[in-house]
Amino acid sequence: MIRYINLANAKKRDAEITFKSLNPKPAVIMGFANGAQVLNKRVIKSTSSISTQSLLSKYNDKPTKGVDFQMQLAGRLAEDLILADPEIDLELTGKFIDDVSRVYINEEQKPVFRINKVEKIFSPSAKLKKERAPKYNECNITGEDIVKWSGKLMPKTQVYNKFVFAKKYQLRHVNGLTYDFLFDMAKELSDKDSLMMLAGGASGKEPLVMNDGGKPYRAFLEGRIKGEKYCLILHLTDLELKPLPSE
Amino acid sequence: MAKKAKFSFNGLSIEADLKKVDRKKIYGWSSIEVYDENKSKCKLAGLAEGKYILPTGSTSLVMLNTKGENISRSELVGLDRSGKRVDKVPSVYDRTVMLREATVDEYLSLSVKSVYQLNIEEKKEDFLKVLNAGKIFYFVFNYREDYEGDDAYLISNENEVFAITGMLSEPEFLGLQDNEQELVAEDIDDIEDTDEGDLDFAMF
Repeated sequence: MIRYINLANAKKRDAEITFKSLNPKPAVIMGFANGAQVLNKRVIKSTSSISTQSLLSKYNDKPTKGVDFQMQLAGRLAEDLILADPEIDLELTGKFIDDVSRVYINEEQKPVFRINKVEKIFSPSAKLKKERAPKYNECNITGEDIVKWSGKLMPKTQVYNKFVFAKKYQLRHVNGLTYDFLFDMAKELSDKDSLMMLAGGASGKEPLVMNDGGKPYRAFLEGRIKGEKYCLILHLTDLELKPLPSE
Repeated sequence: MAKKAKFSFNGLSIEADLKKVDRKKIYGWSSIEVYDENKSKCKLAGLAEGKYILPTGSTSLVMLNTKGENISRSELVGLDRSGKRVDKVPSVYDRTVMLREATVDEYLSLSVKSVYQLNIEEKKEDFLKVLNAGKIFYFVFNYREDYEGDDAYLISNENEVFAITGMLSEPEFLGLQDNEQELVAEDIDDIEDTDEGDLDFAMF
């Protein structure tokens, strides 16, 4: 899937270009020393019908005086687990599965078809600050939206220890015109040995949301030059390099 | 007492315990709770073959040999991309970690996985002086002995020392003719999972 971004330069000229993730893949894989193939499979261990909760709900026992009812049922189940293995479905346990859809289930472990979502916001000390309808972030780097240079140029030597740049993308040209466009941008940033803060949205100050429903990130653009070749890296961050609060 | 890692550079040695910097502890967090029509709390589960409901923990990943027999991880070894066996990388707690100086550009190529704050009891000021002068140090980080270590850098933000760990990315230098290379399928799994709610933040 090719992903596009609308990017404007310092002169506010914009162009649609592509970008590619720079997240590296692991260099080491686990295998047999003789090179024989290892197959990874997902298997079923249990289902909702044989979960502890479902098994407990099958008993029609009445509470015994002086005995905790939960403990009474748990004791009954423990006996059955030893004697009858109700937690094992011989037809299903160990079955390979490939395609799993996602559903919401209620406390009775039944699928639900109408749901309400509430977003709870907690402080660093785990105190509930507020509840609200979940906020959905729409992608603001393509379509009508243009990612702009904020004008905040930060020398590399001053910015590297201010933020944690968790994600990286490489910007790429799509034709000769956009090659010139991106090369000039990279050269300007390389000459100044600085990162340019980018921003999106109507105000041109908002953090970037790279895909619908994604998280907002502050973005910084780095440019490198080697002869007639360029390298533009988009660094994303949602974390300042700050010490942990004292406990 | 917390385990300490020992770092050494140019005759200067420091010992530190590493505390993971969690975003939640700095900014807080948000979570999304789901309720049905009767205000009963709901959980996300898997649905296999349209009929089996799989609550969290109902499935497991298994490794099999070509005969279909279950194998344990201890039977496997680490192999590089060419299929050559690789040695285990020791834990940072098992030996003195030798640091080498790195450049800002090298550090900026790191795709960050985790951040640790170093709690240094002795010679912290000496080490901070070196880092605050703009020095960055590289080392290989492994919390436990394993086949692949992470790339890691020690940097300071004036008052504290941090280890930033992850994997170095390999950005390409692109010439005029390199535009065709962009026409490759990008991994879908790089697109974020949109279920996680998060705080909007304003850091400036």
